[in-house]
Amino acid sequence: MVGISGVGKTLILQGILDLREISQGKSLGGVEWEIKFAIGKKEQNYIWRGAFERTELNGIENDFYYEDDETENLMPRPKIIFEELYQENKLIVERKENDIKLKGRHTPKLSSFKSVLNLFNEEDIISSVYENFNKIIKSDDSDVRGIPLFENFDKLLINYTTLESIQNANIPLYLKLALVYKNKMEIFNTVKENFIRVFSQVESIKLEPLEDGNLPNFFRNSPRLQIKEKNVSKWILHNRISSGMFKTLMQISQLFLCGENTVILIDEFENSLGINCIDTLTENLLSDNRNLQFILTSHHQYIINAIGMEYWKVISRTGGVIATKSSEEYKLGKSRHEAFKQLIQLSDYRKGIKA
Amino acid sequence: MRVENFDEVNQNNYYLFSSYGIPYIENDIINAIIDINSLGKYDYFVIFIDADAATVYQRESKIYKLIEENNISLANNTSLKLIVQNRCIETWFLGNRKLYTRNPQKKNPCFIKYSSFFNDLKMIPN
Repeated sequence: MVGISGVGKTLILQGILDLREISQGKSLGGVEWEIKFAIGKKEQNYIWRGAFERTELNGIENDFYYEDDETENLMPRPKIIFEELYQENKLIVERKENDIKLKGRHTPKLSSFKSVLNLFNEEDIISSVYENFNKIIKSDDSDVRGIPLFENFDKLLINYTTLESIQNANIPLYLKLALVYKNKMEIFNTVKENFIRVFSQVESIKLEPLEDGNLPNFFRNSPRLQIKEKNVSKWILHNRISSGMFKTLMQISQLFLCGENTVILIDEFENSLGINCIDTLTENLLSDNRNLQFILTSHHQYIINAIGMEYWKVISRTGGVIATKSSEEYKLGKSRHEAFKQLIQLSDYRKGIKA
Repeated sequence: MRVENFDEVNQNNYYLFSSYGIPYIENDIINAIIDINSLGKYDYFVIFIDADAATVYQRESKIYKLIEENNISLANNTSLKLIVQNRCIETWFLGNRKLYTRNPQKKNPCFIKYSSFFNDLKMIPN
């Protein structure tokens, strides 16, 4: 997504994340949505729409965490007014407030606050939709805060030998990286190469157990992240690595180790992963067969030029309404000027925000 | 009438392109000539550029040299017009009597405030 600052690119990313939250049962007061999407290699088409009531708190309650036992809450929790899910234009679930029909049949009374995707996430017809919304991730929301120790790492090494099994496993990212380090070194090396493009002072990375650890047996083989920098003789241990470097390593690892059908959101690519690795990343990921989808925002000339015009969405805003258009609609691409230069000539880009 | 894309010109149209800065103008001039020649409909290719620290002659020579060195030339039906703003377009704005009035009106309080801080008519900026 391209467009001037303030036009709404981050809001769109947030909107997509909100939909994931709604699918997981979160209540977002005052929100109305409609989304068309496709799932899987066979590309089954879906439409999902719905709306939450607006409570007197007008959305402030959206940051409030509700315990499942709703009766004890002090904050009014917004209810769903209506919700519909279509698969290939056939209505699968229809809901008007508390009256829900699944495949044409009324269901018993269920939570008024949670989306049908959450309520019926184990029903065949809905589980893949629920699972796929779960696969939407924001690139810099790393799930690793500290470096955990893993019990019986050797056992995990035996269970996860293929790249696919590691990518699709529901295990922490750091553990996936440790597994590829042992079982799929070529992938680890690709992560390492991309990391070194961002941090050129780094010579190497390893994920090895510490030799002098006084740990109990079952933790002894737990791999510890270590980085080797040029002109620094000793390996730098995980707890001495800068948080910025660690975060970038996790972001890059995420790209190569996430499961099939993951949707990855990256806001301001130039500020997160940076311009140094966009070329190798796009090269490495273009031939990937995991059916990944990337939704990025950028202002940066280099990043925008690195990504084909056919993938751009030009964002503009009139008052409170955000619009997106493709580069085809602007008839871009016929000029000899570089892609970014063609983009910034558009009045929708330059005057992206209109009253 | 202005058009949004270079290839939409027909009769009495113009297309504006900004390089967003002098360092980038060289590549843009070459690409513009290629676009113009590919369409064959343009009567004029007008380049506006600030002189900045160079002289008008130096700026003009650099552009003619750039075109020559790249073995490129405009099609016969298109004329090149070079307009060098000395020192820069802002200088021209300051010298324009409609933009920089001698008798600012009360309805323009901001201009009056700035002008009393630094009067361009009396104190020529370096």
